[in-house]
Amino acid sequence: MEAVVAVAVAVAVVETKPVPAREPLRSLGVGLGYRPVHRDEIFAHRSSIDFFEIVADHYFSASPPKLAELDLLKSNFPLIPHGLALSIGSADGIDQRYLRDFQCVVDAVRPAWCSDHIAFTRAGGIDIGHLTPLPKTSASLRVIRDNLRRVQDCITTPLLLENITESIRYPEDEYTDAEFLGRICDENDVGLLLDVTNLYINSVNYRFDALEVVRRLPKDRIVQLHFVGGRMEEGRWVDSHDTTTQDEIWQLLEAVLSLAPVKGVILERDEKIPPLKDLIPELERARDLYRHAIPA
Amino acid sequence: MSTEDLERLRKQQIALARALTQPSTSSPIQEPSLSHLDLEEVARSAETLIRKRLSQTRSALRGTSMLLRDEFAKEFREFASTHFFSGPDAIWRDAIEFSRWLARRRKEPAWLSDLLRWEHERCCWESQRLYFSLFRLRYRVAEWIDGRSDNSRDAPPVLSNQWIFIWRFGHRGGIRAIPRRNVAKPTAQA
Ligand SMILES: [Fe+2]
Repeated sequence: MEAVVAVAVAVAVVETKPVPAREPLRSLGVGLGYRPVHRDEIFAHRSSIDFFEIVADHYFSASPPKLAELDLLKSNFPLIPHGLALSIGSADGIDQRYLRDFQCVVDAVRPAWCSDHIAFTRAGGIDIGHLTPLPKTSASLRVIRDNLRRVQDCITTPLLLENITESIRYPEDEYTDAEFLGRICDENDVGLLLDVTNLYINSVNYRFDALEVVRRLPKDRIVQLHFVGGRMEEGRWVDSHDTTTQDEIWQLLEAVLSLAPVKGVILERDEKIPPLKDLIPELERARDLYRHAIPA
Repeated sequence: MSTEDLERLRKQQIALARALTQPSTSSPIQEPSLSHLDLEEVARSAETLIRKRLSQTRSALRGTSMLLRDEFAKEFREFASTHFFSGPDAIWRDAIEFSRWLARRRKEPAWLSDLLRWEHERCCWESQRLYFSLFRLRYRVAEWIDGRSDNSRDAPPVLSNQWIFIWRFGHRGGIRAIPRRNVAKPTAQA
């Protein structure tokens, strides 16, 4: 029991140190989305992983061993908490309970930045359990702005928002992809977590030029990238997160790195997760691109 | 952009949430805020959600899933067409309710019932563990003591109507249950 309380108190006493919004973010390098199945391998491959992105939600209901795991990771790697259900586009507003849990993880980790998605996951008391796209309209922008104010009142750590794979497109869209993402970032002083794979998948499924979107984005807002392989199912690309990165996605990643002063790149493998050693070649290739990229 | 636009967006989100999570009872065709969407896309998104739930339930009920293989997916799809759970423990609720539902349908062989009962118990335990998360307790202890917050969602469902649970961070630690009637009435959160 003493040990349990010690862990709880150790987490509880970490104080929040606000990060000034204008302070330049430091470069973290190339890392991996942390998956517990790799826990025993990470120290053997330490030099290949500059930082980890952790799923914040996995620590909301943390058992003492899970908290100890967080402590171990925090002591040895820079960590970036990534939320799944802040539901920043929810017209019902932000769930205060989720926000407090998210804030709690951010306080415990004290990261360079934290992130969630441009989507809604909750409406009318229903937790959809999935990132659902928003119409690109001024009403959505207004909802995002109001919700972000509440988030930024609680969390002073810089926040990034990620573009998702769009399974539904709305005929009432008023903005292009680049305009919508750019406005969200500029109007709310948040960064963009550009998921290169999601952008590629949307560009193929909805027939637009992914690189043109990147060119039209405010480059200094692109702070972090995600990449992973997707797959074709019934004539459409899906973000299966279960395979090695395809050449087309590598090319887009390289192009983004040459255009924007990116601070961190994460390989985001979620399904059919191989041993960590099998992911190292992808990390090394991304690191090579990251090091040699000179943004215009 | 007017208040009506915001209200329209809110209604559309609720309708879409229903169409995605309860596709058998909530058709997007009959819903004015969704009828202009590509219904194939909505159906595909609903299917993605079912697959995600199936994959999570397979992980929670590994033994049963390994035994029933394709039958497991067939049964789960039928279950999922009439059941949907919301909230942080939705994954466990799916596994708990599906194992109960399946046990009622498949009485034979006896060892399948035993396996389902065992996996059901394990999922119940995992679900209960959520209520005692340390991260949540960190913020809520002070609120509970002051009676500023209703903790009924943090306590085990069976007991939450009667008792408030307090985790004491003293040198000996421990959980203390106090009768709800002894705690000041919760007030609305700011
Ligand atoms: Fe991503």
